[in-house]
Amino acid sequence: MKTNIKYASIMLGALLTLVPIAAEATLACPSNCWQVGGRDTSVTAAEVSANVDVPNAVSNNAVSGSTQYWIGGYTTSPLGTVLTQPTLLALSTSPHWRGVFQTADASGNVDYNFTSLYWNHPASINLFDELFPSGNPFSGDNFQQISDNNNVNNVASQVLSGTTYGHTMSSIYGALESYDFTGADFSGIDTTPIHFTTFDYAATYGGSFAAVPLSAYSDASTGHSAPTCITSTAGSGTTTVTANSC
Amino acid sequence: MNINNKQRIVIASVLIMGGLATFMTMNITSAHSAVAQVADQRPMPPEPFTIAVNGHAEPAVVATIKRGQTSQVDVSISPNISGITGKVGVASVFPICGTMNTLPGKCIPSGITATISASKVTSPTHMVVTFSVSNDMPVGVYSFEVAASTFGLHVPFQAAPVNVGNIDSFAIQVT
Repeated sequence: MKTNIKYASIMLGALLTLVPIAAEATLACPSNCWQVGGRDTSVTAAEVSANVDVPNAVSNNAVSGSTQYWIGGYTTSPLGTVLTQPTLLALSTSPHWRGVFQTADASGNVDYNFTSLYWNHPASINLFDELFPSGNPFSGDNFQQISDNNNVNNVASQVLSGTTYGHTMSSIYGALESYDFTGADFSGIDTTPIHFTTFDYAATYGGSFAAVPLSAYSDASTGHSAPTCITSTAGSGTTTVTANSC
Repeated sequence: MNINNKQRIVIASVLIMGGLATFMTMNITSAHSAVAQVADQRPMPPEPFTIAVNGHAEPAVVATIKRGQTSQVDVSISPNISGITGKVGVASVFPICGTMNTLPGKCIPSGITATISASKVTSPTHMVVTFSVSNDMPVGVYSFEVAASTFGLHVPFQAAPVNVGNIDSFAIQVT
């Protein structure tokens, strides 16, 4: 009987090991890119908000490949899955980071809005992403806001209404993303990790905020991987992307 | 052939594992083929416009307006890409309190109206934003933004035409 239990336990362990592998098969980065950060798929959110510390610049090679960090989440709309994401985009000249609003879906229906907000390290920024319920005057729109926690005038927002963006986010992300696979290009953030802090969500529009239970993740399109020197940690309401000897 | 309990468990487990592996392979395969079904991300397109409000392309206090008065500020918008047309608008950065949920403290009282003299731009253009401030508007600095966006733009890296815009933030001081 002990042997039977042992065999059964081994098989059960193998099964449990394989289930998360299947869950990871839903790629978030399908187009020759990678993401490293924190994510959560256990809560449903109408609003997400996070503070983030602006890191040092990344190198020109990484910039030319398009590098950004962002918060946001996947929504379900009549057009399919849509990703909404207030973003800081890396620039090749100082100031090295610029606020951008974007949404994207699989059909190429994409909205980008470049703001006139720029930052260098050090700065503390709030990124805010919101969807509206049925019956709301903005139902189907997406509100994004980027604001400087230390300068009330450095703020921009956008109501995106190019499509119907849905009403809630089914998964939440805070990530560094790039189309550049050369670790050395990220040496600039060796000493200044990207900290997402006070990473909160509201399950319903106007509801109370609670910390997002984030888990560290790394994701890349098929056949690619993120530079090994870039890793992340995550916890309740916080995630940090670290470059170590890039 | 006699099969003991241990062998039964192993055979059952192998069958379950095989079935699950087949199921997961189908899922993974469909997830990969379904990659096109999930939201896609691509490098940024070029920015389509250059916007300046009273000469400022970055946030600045561009005008001081007394309560109960009207004031105008100059806005210049230039397309950076030949042949594009942009839809133009002006709005407060923070929503009017009570009209939209936002982070605590990030809304403005009603009492300022802002209108812009043109609704689209096809070539370098000067236009005017007119502010009217009510008598009971609280004194303070309020953030606004002018936006110009173009629709159905064909750009590198993008599989389909995209909507791209610029937003220039600025502030007015109400005294």
